[in-house]
Amino acid sequence: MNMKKKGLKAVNRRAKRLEERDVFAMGDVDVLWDQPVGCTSIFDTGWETNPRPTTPMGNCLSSARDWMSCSGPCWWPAQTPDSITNFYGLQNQCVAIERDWRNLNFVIKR
Amino acid sequence: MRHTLNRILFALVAVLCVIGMSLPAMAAKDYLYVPCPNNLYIIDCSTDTIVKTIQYNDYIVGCTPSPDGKRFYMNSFKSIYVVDTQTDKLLDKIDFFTDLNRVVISPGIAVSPDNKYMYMSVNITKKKLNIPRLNVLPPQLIVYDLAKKQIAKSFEIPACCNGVITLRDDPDHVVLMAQDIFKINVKDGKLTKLLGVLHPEAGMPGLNSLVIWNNWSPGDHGIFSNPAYSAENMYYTLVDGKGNLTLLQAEEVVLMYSSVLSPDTKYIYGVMDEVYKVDAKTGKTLGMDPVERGTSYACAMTSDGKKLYVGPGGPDISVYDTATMKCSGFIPLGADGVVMNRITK
Repeated sequence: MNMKKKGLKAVNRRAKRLEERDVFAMGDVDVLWDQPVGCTSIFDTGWETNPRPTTPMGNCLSSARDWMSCSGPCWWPAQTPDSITNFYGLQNQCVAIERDWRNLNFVIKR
Repeated sequence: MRHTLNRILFALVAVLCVIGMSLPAMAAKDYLYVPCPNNLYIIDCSTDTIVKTIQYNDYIVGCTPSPDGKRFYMNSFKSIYVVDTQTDKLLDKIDFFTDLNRVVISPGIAVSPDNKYMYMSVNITKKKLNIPRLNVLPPQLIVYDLAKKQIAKSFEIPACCNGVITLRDDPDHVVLMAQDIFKINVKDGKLTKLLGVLHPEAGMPGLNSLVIWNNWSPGDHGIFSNPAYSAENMYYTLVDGKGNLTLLQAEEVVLMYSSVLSPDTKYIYGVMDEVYKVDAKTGKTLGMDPVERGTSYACAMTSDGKKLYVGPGGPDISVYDTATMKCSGFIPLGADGVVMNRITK
């Protein structure tokens, strides 16, 4: 909560420090990096989701071989856990998804 | 007599010197360093087998050898790991993330040509004790002194910079692969735009690229290669050791996560669900093979250019003969992974 909006005025050094401009989730910052902390900062707008039905048939989905890497910077946040903040240490449950998926034990918080 | 003895001695010393100098070259072997969750796998390219596994407890997202090949650096989102490639032992773990100072390191770390500094693109979020709010700082390029183990400098950089490329012939600059491509002076932080990617220059296509993989090897040509896509075409972004950027248009659009330029600079090899061999002058596809094991992320080549390794992604690396572009087998790993590099030692 912004102190000025509440009609409060800082009277000492510590209070003045609280008046520093906070940018978390504020509307006046660049929308491209105004995103949840821990989420991806990577420029990747999904070219790899290839719609073509013929060769090359590359259609990167958050499945099997892509699962662990996609779970890191939450490229697929609905399908995979965010292993930066919410599920750090996820690799201890599952280091190879095709082999170890039965060990997974995470719950997506709603 | 004494003169002749001196000559013989001189000749003997010279011969010994030549033998001594040629021995390391003769004995040099290629190794792949493949960091995966909780394990770094070191693979001998002459036998295509894992010769050593180094354990840690983290999820590794990026890696780079030092230019002299003596160190292998890996990064998770929160820490840097240092491996001595001469002994293949984990030397150090440097933590950057604390609850109050949340430093998230992007995958594309790089080491300066003199091996002294590490460059990292980071996103920092600060939290004050007992105050329920977060302060997100502008993205930073950190210049980290590897000997002193402290941050030497930091500069504000454009958002979404996920690949830092050091330039072999220009130690004062690094290239930042972000929503656009920039060159930054690491002495004073001055930014120069090299290419508009998301914000293209007039007459140029808007591009789309994912820059995580710098599939380079110490002692190679020093040219970075990465696929980029417009709405109609595919390009290879090539950055040489002086920071000169070239866009090579591909003959056809194929899908690659990452690519590597062959040691003789004649071919580009790339991989995602298929592996491709492309003429580095014309952009023409010369060979293709679907990767039987599935989606793969990184590429590495032996120093003679005869073998191509693609992977990991899933827990394996596929081995290709670059002459035939046929898979000769795969190397099973214990874990999924994202990145790898080749070091010759």
